[in-house]
Amino acid sequence: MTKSDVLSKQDCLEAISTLGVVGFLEKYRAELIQELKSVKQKLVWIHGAGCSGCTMSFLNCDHELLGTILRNECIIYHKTLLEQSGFFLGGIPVRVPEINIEYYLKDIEKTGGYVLVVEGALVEGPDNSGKYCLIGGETVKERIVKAANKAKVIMTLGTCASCGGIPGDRRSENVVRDFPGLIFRGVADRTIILNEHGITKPVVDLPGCPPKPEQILAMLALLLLDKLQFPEDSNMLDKYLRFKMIKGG
Amino acid sequence: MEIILDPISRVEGHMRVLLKTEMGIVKEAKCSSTLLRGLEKVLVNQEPRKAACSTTRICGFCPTSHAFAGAGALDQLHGVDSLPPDAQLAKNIIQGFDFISNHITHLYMLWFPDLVNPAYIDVIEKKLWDELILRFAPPAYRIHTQHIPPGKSYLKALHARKMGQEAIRELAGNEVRPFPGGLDFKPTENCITVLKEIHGKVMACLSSMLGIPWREWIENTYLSNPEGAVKYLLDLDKKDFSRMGDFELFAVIGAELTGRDDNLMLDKFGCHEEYFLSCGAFNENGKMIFRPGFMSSDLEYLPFDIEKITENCESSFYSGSESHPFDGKTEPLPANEISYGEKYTWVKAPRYDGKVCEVGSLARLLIAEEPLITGLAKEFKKRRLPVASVYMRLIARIQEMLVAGYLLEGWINEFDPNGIFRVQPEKLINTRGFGLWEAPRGVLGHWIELKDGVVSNYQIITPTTWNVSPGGVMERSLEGSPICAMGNKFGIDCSNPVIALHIVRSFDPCNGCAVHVIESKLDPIKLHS
Repeated sequence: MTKSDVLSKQDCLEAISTLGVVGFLEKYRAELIQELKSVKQKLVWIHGAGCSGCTMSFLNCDHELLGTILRNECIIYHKTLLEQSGFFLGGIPVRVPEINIEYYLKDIEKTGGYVLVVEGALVEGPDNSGKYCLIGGETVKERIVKAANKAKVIMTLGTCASCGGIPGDRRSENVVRDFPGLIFRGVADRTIILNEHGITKPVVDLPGCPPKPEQILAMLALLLLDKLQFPEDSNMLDKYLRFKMIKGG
Repeated sequence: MEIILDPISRVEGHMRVLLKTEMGIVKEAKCSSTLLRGLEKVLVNQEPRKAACSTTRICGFCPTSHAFAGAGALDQLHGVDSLPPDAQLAKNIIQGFDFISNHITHLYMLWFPDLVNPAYIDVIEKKLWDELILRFAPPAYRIHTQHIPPGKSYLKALHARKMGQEAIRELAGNEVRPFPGGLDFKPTENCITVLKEIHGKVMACLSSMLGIPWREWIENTYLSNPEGAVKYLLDLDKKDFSRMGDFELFAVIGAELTGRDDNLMLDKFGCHEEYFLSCGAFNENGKMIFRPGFMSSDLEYLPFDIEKITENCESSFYSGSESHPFDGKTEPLPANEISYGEKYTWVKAPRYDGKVCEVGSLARLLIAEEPLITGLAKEFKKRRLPVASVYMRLIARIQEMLVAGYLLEGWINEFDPNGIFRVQPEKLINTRGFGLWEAPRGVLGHWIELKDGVVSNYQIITPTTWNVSPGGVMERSLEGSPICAMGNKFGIDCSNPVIALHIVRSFDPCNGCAVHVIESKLDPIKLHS
């Protein structure tokens, strides 16, 4: 954290704990806009098996703060918002990041150190192949794991990303395995699924179907502005990896 | 040349399109939705209301539509014949705001950024290009490594789309849930004041997007006759485009019809000669303002008959096919058989009377004989051009928003928050029920079958299933179309098939909806006979 910060970490946490997220965003609106304008942190937003409801909730948040994030020069990867698509000519990806979203993502992944937001469940079915969701010729499972490997911090957004949510809501155990969350298979099983895939990056969970716009915005702001850093701040997460002050829902 | 677009950005969900081209013309197109979520396993064995509630999570863009389609099916299960007029009015208001909010999202977040595709830089006039970039650029956009901030219209639209949602929240609380016999909420006393205020703001926004006061537009189009409406649209082209509203600008530069030299020829692409389908929207005292129906591309109207809807999965990643709808159970294919070939998508193929249909705003307004859209359609017919095109789909969406806004004004004035919003539903008396609803993207149907009081089969046919199905209108529209800007007039660049992208996005595909439910043992015909 640098001295030029307009808003200190202490201020943020105090405001959230006393005023809640809505009050926090209202009180420090001007400061947040100022800081978000110059933030250099990259944001990568990947969709798994979900309904884009969390994206919609995100777009419903305070439009001025949202506009500031979107106006920023920092690189954002978000499939529902970006100009580019994935392009393959005769099976070979077009190597222009301005046209090819795939290439653009690879560019970001090379540098790493971004905030990764995952919306939607991880897809492992059928039979652990992950083929229920293929993007750009690979499974979404491979994509999420690849992006998570280079992330600075991972935020699992919404109940699907957290524990499977709607697609993972099954009676039969073998189908739950097809659509687990990134963190939990269900309430009973607390193995962190990302760990099974060799990811040891810090994870913050924000469940909810969808989480409130203000919660998403406040959480993203804290992560983008480095107001929460890991592993130092790990004690601020509860045993389900939710940030104690913004638990979602 | 084989071009694969995967993933396609600025559409809901995961989508892939394969194009086989020759000399820059698409010879074969295959559209795939690439994610299966298989909600049906969640719905089966649930209590019907709970199951219908779960369907609102099929799609984050249009949960409201699923709630109302599910409510229609619940009504039939509970033997509710008709809803109280106040409940119907509340539904109209919610649907109206839902259309506006969804269409703004589609136009500004999902479609207009297409106009600043790098393919247009050297093709259109610099002055026009600068104007487009200034208005419609999406976030995190770069050209020649130079960062371009999001357009001013784009940022404004973020606010506008939210207002529609706020109006729905004001009326229905945080979310709309399916409920048999009417609504499960009671509007507050002062909701009229708030709704009027939001409506005023929304319409002010639409007027500024239009560049013309909305009343003037409606009087000259919706309340006029087809010839008059088209003449009004073509006469708009008098001003310098920097002073036009976004919609006006698009209406003028989008089509060759307007005769401008710098037009983008969007009325020449995304054409097909198939059919249109609508189940009708905005029920006013038992009469649909947008009537239900089935229409050929020659604009011949036929009444809508739900019995004629069927589905098949020949080209989808399921076992089973149309030939065995009763005994065959459709199951997703095993892992080793999921690869792009004969079967290439998770979307099944619904047909009406065996015909391929387009659904959505264009279909709704054509069938409703809305003057502007009908007038334009006739104008294109006169020039021996197809009715459906990228331009028509977008103009229809714009027009529908304005018409919905106009109708909303009357409904809000008429609305009585102390009215009767539900009839006490009987216990479950039927074992089969269906509900139809016009979602922003088109015809949405829910079919429920019960056994021992719990769901044994829940089937959903969504708008995108119609449009993006294998052999559906999107593929037909792509086939035969050029892929590069202005119909390849400035050369062929296979690495940026901008027209193909225009066409795909003009349908506003929502893949989350389309791939959601794998049906079952029964086809819809049997469900409601």
